[in-house]
Amino acid sequence: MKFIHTSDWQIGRTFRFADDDTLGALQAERLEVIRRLGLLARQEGAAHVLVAGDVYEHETPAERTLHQPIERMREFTDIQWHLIPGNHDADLPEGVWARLARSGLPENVTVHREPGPVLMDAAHNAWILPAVLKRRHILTDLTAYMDEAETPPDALRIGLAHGSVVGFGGEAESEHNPVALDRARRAGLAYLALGDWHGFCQIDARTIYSGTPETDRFTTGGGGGGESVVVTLHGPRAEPEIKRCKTGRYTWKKLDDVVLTSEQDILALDARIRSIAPDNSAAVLVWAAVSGLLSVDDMAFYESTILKRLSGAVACLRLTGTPQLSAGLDDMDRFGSGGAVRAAAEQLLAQSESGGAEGQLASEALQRLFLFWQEMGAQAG
Amino acid sequence: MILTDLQIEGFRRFAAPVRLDGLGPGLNVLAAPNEAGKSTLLTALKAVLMVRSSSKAKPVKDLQPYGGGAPHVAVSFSWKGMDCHLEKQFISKAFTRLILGGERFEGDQAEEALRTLLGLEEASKGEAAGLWNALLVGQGESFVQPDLNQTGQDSLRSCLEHGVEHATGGAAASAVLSRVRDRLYLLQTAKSGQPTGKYKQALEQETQAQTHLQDLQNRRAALEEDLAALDQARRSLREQEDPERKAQDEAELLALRQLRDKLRVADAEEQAARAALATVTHTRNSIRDEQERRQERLETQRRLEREAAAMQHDLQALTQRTAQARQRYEDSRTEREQAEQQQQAARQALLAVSRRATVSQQRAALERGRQTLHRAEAACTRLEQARAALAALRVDEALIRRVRKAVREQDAAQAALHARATRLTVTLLPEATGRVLLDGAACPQGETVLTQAADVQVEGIGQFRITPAVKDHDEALTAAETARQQLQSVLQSAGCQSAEDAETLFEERRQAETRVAEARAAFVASLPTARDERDTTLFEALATLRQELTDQSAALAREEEAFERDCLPELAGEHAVQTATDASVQALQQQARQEEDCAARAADEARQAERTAQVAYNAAQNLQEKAEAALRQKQTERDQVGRELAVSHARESDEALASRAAETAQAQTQAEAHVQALKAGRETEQPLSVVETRITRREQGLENARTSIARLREEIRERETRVRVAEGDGLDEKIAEAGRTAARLKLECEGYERERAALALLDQTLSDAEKTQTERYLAPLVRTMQPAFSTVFPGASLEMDTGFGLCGLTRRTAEEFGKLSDGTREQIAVLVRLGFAELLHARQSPAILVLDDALSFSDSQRLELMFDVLADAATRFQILVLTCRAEVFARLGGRPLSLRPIPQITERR
Repeated sequence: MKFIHTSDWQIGRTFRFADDDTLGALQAERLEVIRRLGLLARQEGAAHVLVAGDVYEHETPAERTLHQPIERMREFTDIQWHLIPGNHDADLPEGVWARLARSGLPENVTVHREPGPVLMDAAHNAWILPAVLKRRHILTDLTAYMDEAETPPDALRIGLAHGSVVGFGGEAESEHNPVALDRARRAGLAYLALGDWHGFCQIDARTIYSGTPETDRFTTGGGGGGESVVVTLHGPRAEPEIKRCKTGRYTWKKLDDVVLTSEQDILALDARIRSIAPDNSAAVLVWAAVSGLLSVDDMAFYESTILKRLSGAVACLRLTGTPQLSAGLDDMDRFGSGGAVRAAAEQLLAQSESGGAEGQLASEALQRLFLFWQEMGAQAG
Repeated sequence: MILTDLQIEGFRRFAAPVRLDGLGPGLNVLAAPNEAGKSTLLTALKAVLMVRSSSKAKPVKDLQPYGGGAPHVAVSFSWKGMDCHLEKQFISKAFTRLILGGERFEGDQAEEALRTLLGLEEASKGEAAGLWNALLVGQGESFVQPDLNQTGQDSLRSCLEHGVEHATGGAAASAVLSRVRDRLYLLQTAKSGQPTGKYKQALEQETQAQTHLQDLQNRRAALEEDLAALDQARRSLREQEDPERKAQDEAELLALRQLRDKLRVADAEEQAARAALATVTHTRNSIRDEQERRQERLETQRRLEREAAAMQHDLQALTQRTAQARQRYEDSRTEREQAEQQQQAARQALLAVSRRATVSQQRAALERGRQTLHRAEAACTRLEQARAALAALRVDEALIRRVRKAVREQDAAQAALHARATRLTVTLLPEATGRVLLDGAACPQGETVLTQAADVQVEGIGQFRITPAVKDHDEALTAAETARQQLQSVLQSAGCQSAEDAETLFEERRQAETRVAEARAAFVASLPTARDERDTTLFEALATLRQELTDQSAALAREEEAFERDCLPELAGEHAVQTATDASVQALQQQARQEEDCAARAADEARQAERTAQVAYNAAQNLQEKAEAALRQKQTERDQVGRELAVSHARESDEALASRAAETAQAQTQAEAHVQALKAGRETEQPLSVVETRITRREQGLENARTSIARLREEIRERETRVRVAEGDGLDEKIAEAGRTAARLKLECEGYERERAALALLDQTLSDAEKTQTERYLAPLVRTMQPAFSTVFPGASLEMDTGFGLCGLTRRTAEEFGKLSDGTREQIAVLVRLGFAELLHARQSPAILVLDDALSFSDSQRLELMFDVLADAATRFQILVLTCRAEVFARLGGRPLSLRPIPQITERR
């Protein structure tokens, strides 16, 4: 018995930091990953895909957003898709699932809206035990019923739930939608497919978070996301066989505390980012927190290397902070030994050294003056 | 640079070739009338120096003469001791030729060499407008300050920077500044500094995005409210539709209705018992009321009787008082009548006395009248006598005049005779007196007039005869005689002996006239009425007076007769008319008046007493009548009460009433007991009203449930519809998207703002720095221009802006250039140009100054000063002055120029 475990598709998610093009590409990729999941299932010979909640990002997606993933799944008629509500798309009276139920679902897609064992695969005597979130946040363990849920003898009991394993994360989040750490053991589950964590996370041999198949944040935790799990069950009591498969296209990377003080630092940063996906930088999203102090020349180098060239190379270069301009009296000589421009530059330099918001502004003005001067020199030269 | 020759052809008004004759170093003056082509000359100079011959721009086309043709200019000049020649033809067969000493340039090369020489730079469409524009000053340009373009400014700067240590990069600053501003003005407007372009767009978009986001969130809130309400409504509907609850409600309602019916029966019984009790109680009360009413009436009847008796008694006393009052009233009336009779008698007596006084007055008046008449008649007699005396005197005014005239004539005749007479003057010794005789008589001493021959006899001597030799002697004697006779005749007619007599008689007559006048005046005075002094009137007045007197006398007689007949009997004794004097009559009158007053007072008092008595009588009568009416009222009331009592008794006797009262009291006790028994039986039951309210409440509850279900279903349908619509929109997604857009736009705006602020700061800092630097450059320019300024504006100092424009002039106070007079502005503008030329000259750059019709607003004094300045400057560089005011500019001196037609332009090859 083989199936694919995935979760947290979060269809309809938007990314504030991204420009329109990047956003479009990211959103398109979240849909495209469904196709890759289907293909993976076929490739692995798995007849079922279990989606452990949070198919949708929002409680009220637009009609198009609502139907997009369903239509993708419909195309894989040979694959059975099992969905449960997550905290983002809880089964509210007028929620997404009610809407979908009203408009009708493809035969190969099953939305589990009531707890209780459901026969998944008669051939393997496999039963699925879904936990159903009726609200966004619930303080009781919805998987508790699985302990008592009756299935035929020697059935493969497969739990499907969305929530936080109690005592594992230790986060405030775990107070909501809790799942007992030892639910798989207590309920005699062959496998407990969990959703909510966006990075792959294995709690025990039978309890696993698959993570999101397409990464959607810089700080995913766990395995980092962009994966799905191929699960093979050899028997009700046998340990499941786990295979992690990369399904994501984009690589998200956060670089904290990048300090730039020299041309070498700038080159190092450039190299570091380009090495994330050496053959496919266009699928890299980087968030770098930059600081430091650069000379006039290095600042120009930073602008051309990082802000212009590298920004074009990656899918998204998100920078917080900026290196400061470190100009001295020596730099003033660029403007000649006298004259109005030098006088203005000296004035700005003095202001920038006084610090504060005004100093920052003067520093920026000075930086621009250097740039203009450089441009004019370039033209004259 | 010194122009030595200028030839033009095919240039605007100069279709044929002309040459500007007489050019040389220093001051050159072309004085020519309007329309002579001075401005064309300047245009040609500008064109040849500054416009590329290949240019096809409109200004170049405008150079053509009116009939068309190719403008052609040739100019020769010396530069640093080198002979130079520049020639250009425009539009057709255009060419440029420049010869610099031994070097020769053609076409573009020539243009470039010229530009380099003059420091020109490419400007728009071939025209190189540098500082030269400011030096070649056209008509009407001279009173605005030169508007230097960048090249012009740079030329000046390069001249100026030369003298300023460490001052470089002014042009660089301008270039940076222009870049900064190009970038800045993409973000903010140049004038107001308001956001513009992409920044403005971003700000607007951000506002829109925020609004949109807010709108979406509001819609989301509405959706959530709908969802919550929908959930609530569904729960309510489930509860309302629960069939068990409905059945239970209906069963409870049925039980309540049965209970209500039972309670209603019991209630009816109790009500009947209460009604019976009420009836009995009512009967008993009415019997008691009847008994009380009878008792009350009896007492009223007795009281009324007592009161009537008391009133009867009072009435009798009142009647008596009324009779007495009446008696008093009648007595007073009698007294009043007597008093009035006495008053009447007193009035009669008073009237009689008054009448007698009148008669007596009339008699006295008559007597006075008679005296008047008597006096008038006496005056009349005297008047007549005076008139008679006057008539007897014949010498009147005319007669005396004739006498006097005759006397005068006689005297004149005598005098004439005397005048012609011989005068004999005799002076005798005292002892000779008597011994000399004249005509026989002793000869008088002194002069004697001799009218006739006279004989003088001297004793002892003899006789002398003296015969006057008078001419016309005889006529004179005759005239004297005639005059004497005339006088005598007149005197005779007057009855007088002599003229003196006549004068005496005339005097008498005048006195007689006076007397007549006096007598007449006395007569007039004696008449009481006459004022007119005509005699007839006076005599008529006298007659009238006489007649009146007669009439009055008759009237008095009649009055006396009547009075005696009427009043004499009443005025007996001492009041008799005959004996009465005026004084006694007055005393009588006084007495009678007093008596009449007394009688009148007595009558008044009597009337007052009568009125008082009458009032008292009336009051007594009123009282009596009221008492009688009150008594009658009481008696009527008493009779009424008596009748009512009688009727009551007739209907039911007192005894029967008492027995009926006892019966009803017993019946009431029984009814009360019955009611109490019923009430006690129902004390444990629920009150009917409570049960009925409960039923109503239940019924309403059921009804409400029905309407509520309908309402809830309706609400659910509505909410569902709204929710479906809203969820189809994908609000959450839209909110996320709108939030993202808003955040992005906010960041974008912040970025723009940072950029704008940095650029603005840079702009400000650079401008300030450039200004500071330029101010340093300007110092030499100001120094160069100051001497010329000081000449024209003594004690004035200049102020220049960084664009080399003069921005102010400080004489005693700072003045803005724009607010100066036209004349002053023109002079300053010329001086500024002069300054530029000076500066170029000092830098050993080529410089000439051409002024076309400049200084037209200047007064003669300033013009003189300007002439001095120009003449001085012309010692350093060439100045061309083109003017139409030959006589004014004659004083400027300099080389006179003239325009001379030439066969063709002399070409240098």
